Amino acid sequence: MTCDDFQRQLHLSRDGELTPDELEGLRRHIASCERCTAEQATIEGAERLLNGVRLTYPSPRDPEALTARIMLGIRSGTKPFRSAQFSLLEQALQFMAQPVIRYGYATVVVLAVGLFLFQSYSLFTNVDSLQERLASGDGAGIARMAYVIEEDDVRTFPWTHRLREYASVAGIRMDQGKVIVDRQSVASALARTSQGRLLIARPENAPVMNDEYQDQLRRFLRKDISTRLLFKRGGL
Amino acid sequence: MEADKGGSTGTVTDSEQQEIIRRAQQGDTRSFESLVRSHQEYAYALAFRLLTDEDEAEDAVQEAFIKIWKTLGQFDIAQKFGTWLYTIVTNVCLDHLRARKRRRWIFVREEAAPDKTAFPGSPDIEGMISNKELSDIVRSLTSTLSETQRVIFTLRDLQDLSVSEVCDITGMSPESVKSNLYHARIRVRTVLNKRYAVRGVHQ
Repeated sequence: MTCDDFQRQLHLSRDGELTPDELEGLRRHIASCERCTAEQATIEGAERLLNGVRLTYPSPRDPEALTARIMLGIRSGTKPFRSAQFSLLEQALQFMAQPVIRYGYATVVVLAVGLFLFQSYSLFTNVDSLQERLASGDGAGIARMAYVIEEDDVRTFPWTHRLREYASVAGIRMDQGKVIVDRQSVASALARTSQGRLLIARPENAPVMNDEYQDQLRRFLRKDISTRLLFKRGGL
Repeated sequence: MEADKGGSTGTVTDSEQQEIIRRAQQGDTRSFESLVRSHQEYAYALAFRLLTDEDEAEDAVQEAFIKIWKTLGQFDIAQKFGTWLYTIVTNVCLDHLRARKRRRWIFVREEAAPDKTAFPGSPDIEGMISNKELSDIVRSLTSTLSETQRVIFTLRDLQDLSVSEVCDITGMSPESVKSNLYHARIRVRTVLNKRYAVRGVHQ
């Protein structure tokens, strides 16, 4: 056996941890080895300190109160009381800190960000497409194109109520949940708005989008890209 | 058995204790209260040394006794009650330690170990030390130990149970217990050298 083996035994030489034969072999080795003798002295120094800790017996602050608390829990058949340090808030936070719940947060955040990015991409694509089509001046091909704003798409936005209001006040046509905006409706609604947050659409029968409407449409789209515009060929 | 030595009051014989347990198994809460009174300090000492927190130790002791009450019917009266109690207290404390880890995701509740604390029994300490001082010392000693090492070191070196009792309580083999004990003592000794400047008794 090497000194390392004996030193491992030294660390495991409290009562009953070594066999009598192991103890005798260790004793004989230490008697002839300075290095292991020094190690034994250090271990005994640590053991002396640990013995002080061992003999210091922690006691409950109020044993009678602890007994009463235990028996109250048993007689009432309820769950154990918690110390004041575990506030309801902290217990709630502890629950929320569980790994499963944390994965839930992460999933919701990832889904929300993904949905936002998807919608943004989709909206920007629509805007690009719209602007391209406007820029190309698709002439007769879009002669009978009208813009239909789906009410469902704007349901969650604060100006939905205003849209409904405009629809009734300005005589905007509504058809199967869709608000159809034409030149007259736009002109009428423009006259009633003070904030410029208005749905702008090309006149239904105009052959091309003139500069004025185009600028207004661009401004609108930049102001509130959450609005989705659908295009329909061949009239409504 | 050491686990029963500290658990009984010394005036209650084994047969008397068996009779108390038997009555408690039949639903006699007064007998169970007698068991609680004779064992709660022993259970508290273990919980305190494992959790190093007075409030949590009291919570753990209460939870352990309620578990014991609920499962007392399954307890074999021929077994040592102290060993069974220790097993349950240890398991409850392990639950607390794991819950504490989860809590620390939000709250860092554990106080940092003190740089240096005088040991009980050392020349610079007169009289008894408080639970707070003791918890600081135990926390500093066990802070680097794994969960298993912490349990085994506490049972063997702080609660002074025999290796066979530690095996009974943890369900581990003597070889595993000794292996964990060895590594725990090496780490504890490192802490003692670093923070408390342990010197060899012959130096």
